[in-house]
Amino acid sequence: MMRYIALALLLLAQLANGAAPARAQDGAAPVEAGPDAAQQLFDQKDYAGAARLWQIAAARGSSQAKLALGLMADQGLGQPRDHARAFQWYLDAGSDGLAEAQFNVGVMLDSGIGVSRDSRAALVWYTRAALRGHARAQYNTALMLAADDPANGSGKTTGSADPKAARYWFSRAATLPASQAQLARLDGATATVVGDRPDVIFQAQSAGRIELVWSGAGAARYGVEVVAIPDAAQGYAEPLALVVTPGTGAIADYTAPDPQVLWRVLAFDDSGTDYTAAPWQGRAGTTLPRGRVRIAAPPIPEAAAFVGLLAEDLRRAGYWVRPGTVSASGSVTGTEIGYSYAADKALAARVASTLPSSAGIRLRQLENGSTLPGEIIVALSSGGDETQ
Amino acid sequence: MTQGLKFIAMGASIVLAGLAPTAGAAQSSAAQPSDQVSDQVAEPESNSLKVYFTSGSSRVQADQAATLDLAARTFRDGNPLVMVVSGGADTVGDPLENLDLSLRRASSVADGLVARGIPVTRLQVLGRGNSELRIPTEPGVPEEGNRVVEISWR
Repeated sequence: MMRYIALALLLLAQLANGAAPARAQDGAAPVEAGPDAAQQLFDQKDYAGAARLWQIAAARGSSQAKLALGLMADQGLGQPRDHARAFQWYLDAGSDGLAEAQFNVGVMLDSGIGVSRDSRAALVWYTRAALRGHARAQYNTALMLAADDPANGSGKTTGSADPKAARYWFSRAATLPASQAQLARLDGATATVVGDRPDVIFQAQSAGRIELVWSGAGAARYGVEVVAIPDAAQGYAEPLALVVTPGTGAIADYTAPDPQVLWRVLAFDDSGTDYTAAPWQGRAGTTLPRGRVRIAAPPIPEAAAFVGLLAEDLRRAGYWVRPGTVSASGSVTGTEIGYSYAADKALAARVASTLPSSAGIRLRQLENGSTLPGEIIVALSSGGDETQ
Repeated sequence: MTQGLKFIAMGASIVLAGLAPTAGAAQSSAAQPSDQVSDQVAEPESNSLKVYFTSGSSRVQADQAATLDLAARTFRDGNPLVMVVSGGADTVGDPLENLDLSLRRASSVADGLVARGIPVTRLQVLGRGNSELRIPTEPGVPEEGNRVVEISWR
């Protein structure tokens, strides 16, 4: 017993000296001395002593300590078993970003242990852990998304059957033999239509990071796009991040001096030439773009003047515009409006109708990936038809 | 309670229950039809999940895999909880062979749980043979309710 007390005193001394600085920002970062000493006590079955040290570490932000306290409450070690309390500790550690704790939150929501059963919330937490590489979470995420999941088929549905995404998550969990068996079983599942709009069921924004979980689209691939909100003078912002995944969630990391960003989730069709998008999300009150327009023009003074006027008009109409520093390709004759995604043809037509000589403007579907989703390119010819 | 408890080292501890029927066998619940999978994930403290087998076989049928998934979905990460995987057999055939069959059935289920990421050290695998029959019968009676592996929690 003396040894434990000595350990505890040592730890407290270190805490007092600031010798063991907690790094609370990142859930995975351990508090140096605390957990080791606590784990030693735990291994020696001194549950009260271990809990005491983990309480200190948890109060200083250690997610590992929170997880450990959750496990002790879950199992009833040194205390009566208390699933509700365990859930709260898991939730706390999971909210910090610790995958094992996120998985346990998912399990308890999935099975209604320590908390009311909630399949949709369980799917969110499984997916969050799955995004961090937790194999069993990936497996359970896939199970819930598979069309024949008992929880989906019985009327108590999560409303999120998505066989393609299920296959993706099973493939991510391929270290589990059961997952490989599931993949073989799912081989027939195909759907070629563009899915519904992805339904964002979880989002969390922290400095330089956006984490999203969505459901219900049945698409081949999804994308998360993050853009900075452009200032009025600039009027256009390049994406800070564009994450493409076959899965139903993503963690998009970006670096931006200004934390004010917009983000949205896209669902692409199998060929990658069409998409649907969930609405932009971001700071309340932000004016969202009607669309994004790049203007390409030949490098001659007359064109520059015209481009300036056109850009101003389009900005007034609510578009984000990047005026052409790019010269139009030599093959362009007459003004042409290009779009890469079928969904953006309507945008191209709308912009065409606002241009001065709309009769002579051709719409053209560009090579896949020439633009961002929701972006078109207005290419002005050097022939000068529209500037005469 | 039983004579001849045996442990076989195989990662999981495997317990062979004695051949003699033990008291308390009559507490069997009504057998679930094998094609009916509970749509609720089991509450570990109050329930067990049952995996049914065809006569003489220790192979987990495709339609029983969902039960293993449900069991795996209650098992929290890092939890020192133990899952008890307890195999049984109906009374058709030789009792000694049935003991072996019940253990092989339980091992199949345990393998299925390990394939789902449950650590093997957290599983206790038990073959009951014809002891503690879930549906008490005379010798030589085919009974699906007894060709079962139960997964329970401790």
